[in-house]
Amino acid sequence: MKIQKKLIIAFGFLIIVLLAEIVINQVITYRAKNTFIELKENSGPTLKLLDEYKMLNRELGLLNNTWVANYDKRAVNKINALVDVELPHFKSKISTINKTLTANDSKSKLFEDIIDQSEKLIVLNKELINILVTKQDYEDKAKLKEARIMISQQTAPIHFMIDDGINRLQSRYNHQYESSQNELLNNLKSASTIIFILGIIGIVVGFIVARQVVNSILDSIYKLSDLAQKVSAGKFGMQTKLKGNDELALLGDSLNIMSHRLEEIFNKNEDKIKELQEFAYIATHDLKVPVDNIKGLHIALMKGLDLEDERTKQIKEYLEISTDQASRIIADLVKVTQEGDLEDDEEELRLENVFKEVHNNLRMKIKAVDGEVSTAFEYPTVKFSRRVLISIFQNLISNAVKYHSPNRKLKIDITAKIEGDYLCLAFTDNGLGINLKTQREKLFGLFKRIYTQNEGSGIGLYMIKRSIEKYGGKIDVKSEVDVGSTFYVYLKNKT
Amino acid sequence: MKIKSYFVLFNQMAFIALIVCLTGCSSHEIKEINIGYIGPLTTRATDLGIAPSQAMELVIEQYNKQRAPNEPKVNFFIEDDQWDKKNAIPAYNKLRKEHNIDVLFISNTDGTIAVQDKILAENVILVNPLNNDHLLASLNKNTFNIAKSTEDAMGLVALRIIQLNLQKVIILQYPNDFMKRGAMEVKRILDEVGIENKILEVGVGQEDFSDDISLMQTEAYDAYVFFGYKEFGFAMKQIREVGITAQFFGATTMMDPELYDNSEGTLINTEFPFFTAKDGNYILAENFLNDYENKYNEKLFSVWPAMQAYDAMRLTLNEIKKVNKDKKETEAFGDWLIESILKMEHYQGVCGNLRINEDGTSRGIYFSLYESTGKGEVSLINE
Repeated sequence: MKIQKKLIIAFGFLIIVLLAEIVINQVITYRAKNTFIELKENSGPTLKLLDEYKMLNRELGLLNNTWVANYDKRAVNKINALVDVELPHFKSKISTINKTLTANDSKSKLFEDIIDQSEKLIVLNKELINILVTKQDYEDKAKLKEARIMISQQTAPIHFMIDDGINRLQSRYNHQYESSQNELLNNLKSASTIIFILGIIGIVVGFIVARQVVNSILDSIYKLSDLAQKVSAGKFGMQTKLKGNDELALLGDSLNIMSHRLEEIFNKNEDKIKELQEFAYIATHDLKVPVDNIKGLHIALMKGLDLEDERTKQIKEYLEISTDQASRIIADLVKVTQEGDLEDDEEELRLENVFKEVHNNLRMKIKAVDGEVSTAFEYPTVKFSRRVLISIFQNLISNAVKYHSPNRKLKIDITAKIEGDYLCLAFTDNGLGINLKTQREKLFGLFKRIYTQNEGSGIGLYMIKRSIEKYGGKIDVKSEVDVGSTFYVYLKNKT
Repeated sequence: MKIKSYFVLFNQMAFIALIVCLTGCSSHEIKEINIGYIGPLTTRATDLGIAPSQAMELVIEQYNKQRAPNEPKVNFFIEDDQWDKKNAIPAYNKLRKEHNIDVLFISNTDGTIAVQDKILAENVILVNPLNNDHLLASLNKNTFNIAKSTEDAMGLVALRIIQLNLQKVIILQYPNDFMKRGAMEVKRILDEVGIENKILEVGVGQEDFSDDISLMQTEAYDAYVFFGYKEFGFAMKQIREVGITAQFFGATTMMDPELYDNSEGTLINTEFPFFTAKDGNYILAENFLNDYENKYNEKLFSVWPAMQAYDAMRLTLNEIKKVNKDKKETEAFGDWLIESILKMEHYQGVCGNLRINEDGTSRGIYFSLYESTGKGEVSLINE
């Protein structure tokens, strides 16, 4: 299965879990909201209203009893306020609640009874107030008796009926209130549980799916990485086998093809290199014999000639120069062709010792140009090929001597210091200098010479550059014409 | 067209749309409501004009301070009618012309009747914050009487006369509708129980009652009922000066300081219907009286006119503040306010809990009988 599909399935599953959670949560929240609204707008306010109505009913009953016992104008005002304002207000509120109930709701009958009884209570209280208007009325036994009978036989039973009706309604609304509270609580608990369970499922499944997908991808990546490392190490033609037909398997096939092609190209190149090496070997050995013969013949020929003759002398000189030059070129070419694979010849070397050995070899040449060489090795040792390091010192010092300026005394400074992963050797001279703008490409080329008037085959810098790079190093140059040059040799610091 | 031109055009259109929306959205929102008040600030019954106007000003100030952004600001404008019905219409016209008032508060019963046609024609809502009687209840649909019942309050005097077993009563009455209604109610109750009684209508501004007193002296009344204003202070003094010791009774207006001054103390022991903080919602009433005292730096002698005016204005503002939420765009403000006040079932005020009846009158303010014990002092009669 393709990675794209795997990822879509993995994320798709998580999205489905999330959607399921959202939907279930919305449903539960909707139900919880309705329950909360029921509590807030129905059961709660109704219970409060019933409680207030109950208090009002009892207050009116008490007022009736106290008022009939003693004349109290303020009590009359209070009864008036209850009868004129409060009772109609509560009656209206209760009627509004009753209208929201269905006809077969048992509470409706109770509400209707309370409304009817309240209406009767209003009428009876107004009648009562008219019976006992003045203090004299209280002294009128007939009126007092009439009022007391009215209270005991008419208003009191009504108060009791209203109270009873309210109690029964309160009981039902309390039950409804409690049910709604429990429902709300259960809804909230359910929401919490579902969120928790789906969350856990999402996490577990997500983890498993992610692990599967990652593992399948990583396994292929490791195999591809292994192949790439092998190819980069020169093991061309190596192949890898990846399971499935995903994008990484496709990449594996491409790498297999690439590795196979590289093997083919490398084999072809190797054949060509061998051919060239053989050609060079044959050429140099085949050329060496005739050149040596020419040299021998030249010596034999010279014996029979008048060496005092100016022309003969000149021919002899030219011939010697030409044969020496041809001999030297051939010797150098032999060196190049004989340069084999990297040998394990690295050893701990003291730079000062290497310099002394080279300086000893070149002492005469340096003295001949009245040159001066100084060293400052901040870092005194290096693990490197002795043969190559001597070659580097030899070539760079002898080049400085060769291309010294006739206008000033030659000075050569050699320093060594650590720069990052490298030991940097700097060979600075005050010689003729090089125009790097035009000569940089030529400088390290085979048989390239900057100054044709001086002796040299133009192979030295090519050789040391090649050797340095073989050991993982590099060489650079900074130079200014008629000021001097500095060659920087960077050797991998292995100490 | 370049992209820049499209951008500029889009911005312009968006700006226009914003302006249209803002103007369109707010076009029907009522930002301010102007309320007018006509009451006696000079000449007569100033305790029924100044204190109520200040109490209403206090409510409006509290409302404006606490109102929500979508509740209209209320402006209040006052005119003096000198407790004379002939000044009611000019004052009303002035308030309409200068301030385009939508709601009018007026204390005087005669004034209330006088402006009836005008308010109906201009769909202005009228609220009488002091009186509420059978006549006022029969006025047009734009009129509300958020006050005590005149008949109930004044009838207390008759009940007290019956209780004290007084047999011959003279009722001196100021010639206006409110006092006439009170006198008639007392007469009705006394007639019912067979107590001899007589109503004597006095002249406006009359201060010398010597001719009437001579007559009354010969008729030997047991009780003198004064249903009027400050001039009755002179009458009380003059009656006592001739040696009459009969019980004095009064109207709800007896706490006018000028009346006390005019009576030179003879007002003391006069019994009259009155209303104090204890008769209403004591806590709210005390809060109101403290706020009033703090704002105007004066203590009220007669608290009920201010308390009633406070409740009437607060009740009205409770409805007005819903205008931008409840009123339909096509509905007239006056029609909406009538419906809104009539729908109000229960109002908790400083005078007690009030209810508005279908005829625009209120229930819930009940007076008690008090007696004067000094200037600005009263005590409840323990019957």
